[in-house]
Amino acid sequence: MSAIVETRNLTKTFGKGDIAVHALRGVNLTINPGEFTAMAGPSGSGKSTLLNMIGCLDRPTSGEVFIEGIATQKLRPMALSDLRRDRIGFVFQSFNLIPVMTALENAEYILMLQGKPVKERRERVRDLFEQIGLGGMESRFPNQLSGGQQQRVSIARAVVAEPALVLADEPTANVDSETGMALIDLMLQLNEQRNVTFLISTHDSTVMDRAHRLIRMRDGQIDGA
Amino acid sequence: MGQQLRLAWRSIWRQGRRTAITVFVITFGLILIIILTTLEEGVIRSVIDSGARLQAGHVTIEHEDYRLAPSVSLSVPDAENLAAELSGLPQVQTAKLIVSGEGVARSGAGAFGVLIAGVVPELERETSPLAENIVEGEYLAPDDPKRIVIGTVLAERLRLKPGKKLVIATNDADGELVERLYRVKGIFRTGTDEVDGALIHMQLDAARDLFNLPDGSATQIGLVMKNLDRLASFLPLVEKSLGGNSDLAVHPWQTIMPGVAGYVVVERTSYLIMEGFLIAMVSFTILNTLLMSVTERKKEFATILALGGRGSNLRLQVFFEAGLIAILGILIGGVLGGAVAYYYSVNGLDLATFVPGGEVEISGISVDSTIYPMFTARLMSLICGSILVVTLVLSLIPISRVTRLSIANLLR
Repeated sequence: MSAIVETRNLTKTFGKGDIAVHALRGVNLTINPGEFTAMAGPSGSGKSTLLNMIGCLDRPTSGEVFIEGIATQKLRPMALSDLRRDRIGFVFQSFNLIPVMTALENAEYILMLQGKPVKERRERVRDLFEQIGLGGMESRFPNQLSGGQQQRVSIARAVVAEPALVLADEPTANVDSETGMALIDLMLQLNEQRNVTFLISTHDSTVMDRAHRLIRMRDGQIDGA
Repeated sequence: MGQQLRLAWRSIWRQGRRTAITVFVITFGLILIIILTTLEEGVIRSVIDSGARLQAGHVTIEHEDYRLAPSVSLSVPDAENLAAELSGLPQVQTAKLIVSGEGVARSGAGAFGVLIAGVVPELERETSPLAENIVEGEYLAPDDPKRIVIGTVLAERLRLKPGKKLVIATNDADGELVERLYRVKGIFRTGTDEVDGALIHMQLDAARDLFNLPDGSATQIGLVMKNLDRLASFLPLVEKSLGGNSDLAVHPWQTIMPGVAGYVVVERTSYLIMEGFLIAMVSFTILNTLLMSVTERKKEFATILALGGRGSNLRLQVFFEAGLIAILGILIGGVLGGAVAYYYSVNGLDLATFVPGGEVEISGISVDSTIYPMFTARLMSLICGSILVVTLVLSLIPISRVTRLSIANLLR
């Protein structure tokens, strides 16, 4: 089985000279299909930077990132954009829903970018919403939803296009513990039922406890996996 | 595309008050620009029209050398037939025949140089402001070969009243000195001393007789147009109608009335500068709104890019937002400003309070204090189109910012 993500000797340095910050120092990581992986570590340990590299949101200083065997550093910006759209889902700490879109429009946005017909988009989102407990909330705008509901919409947006990988950056950080628990259940459910691969950056011990695999980071390096 | 348009519409109302203020500024600016432009163009059109109707029309046909050395000997021999032919063109309201020459008018009170214009009284009554401005007596009738009308200034200088006689002395087409006795039928007042002190109207045949010109001839054929906007396309048609007669020249009003043409250039330049300031004011408001809107939403745009959206998606959305704000302001401003301009274009705007005597003289041409703003679809489209184009061009500045976003930094 080929890896979904593979990083080889990945480094990232911000700034130059005396003020240079080495956020990643030779990270080697492999994520296989269907894994539900949590990535923990103190602030500044490089979790978010690693997620950005894997998510093709930033370029490494050196080293390589492969997504489904594709060397991302060789891709042009437009190809990276297509790769993100088609193969990677994102869940953000602050949900990052588009305020002028309804829950349904937010969730179907990637399908729209992919050029899927309206009917197919709506059917897929409605089915997913029913599955994750958002049925009846399709026409609500983000400011009419609770934090937990917004993060559910965010998760729906991340998985609706059936990506190879979902990257979640502190997905439970902005919700209460009960809602956080429910969100973990939801992501595990999607992992089991839809075989979605998750890589979650977190400080939440509940997420760490329930993940299939835990990666610990410290000072830009993987401390233990 | 429809989805992005819908999102752009929703986005501009996220900061409803700010959008409303921007739309108000566009509306207010546009109303000012429309009123200013239509009013100025109304004045300009009034000056051109009054001058053209008083003199030799919007387009004048005369001997090719007449402009350099005006002389009755340089006449158009077959003017009557040519005028009849040209009056059949759809753009022509009236084709006037004029015999124009210089002379000296003499009464017991003295002698003054005059400009003699032989005209067709029926046509002058239809087209010339002079026939409408008779203050004593009456304007010429077709059967008045020995009668003339003069201006108030000349009447005062020569101490003449309607019914009184005066002698006009001039050189005819052969250079012979001639004198004729005429009786004053009416006295006009245009408000322009140059005209009221020098111009004499007499019947066309009487002028031909005075200057010893053959029947059917005239020194000028003046074409009064129905719509001056079509002047550029009309001139070649007139030249074509002359059938290659190389002795004749076709002149637009700018050549016949260079003073008015100069005034129009100065007037248009000055109001365009003022409008430039207004458009700049409106533009900076729009630019400010768009820049604030983009700056506030950087994280949102970064999210869209992270999800796989293209820069072109964002550029199009900002472009739509700018366009929607502009269209909204243009619609409201255009309707309100257009309604005001249209109302006054029909009923006239009386500026008598600001104009002592009720008349103002511009470039030697008297213009009534009641101004009729020039309201045309073309002018309105031009004004509204300018605002739209300026807004869309300005939107390129925030659009350029959208394309330079650092996704990772903004999502941190």
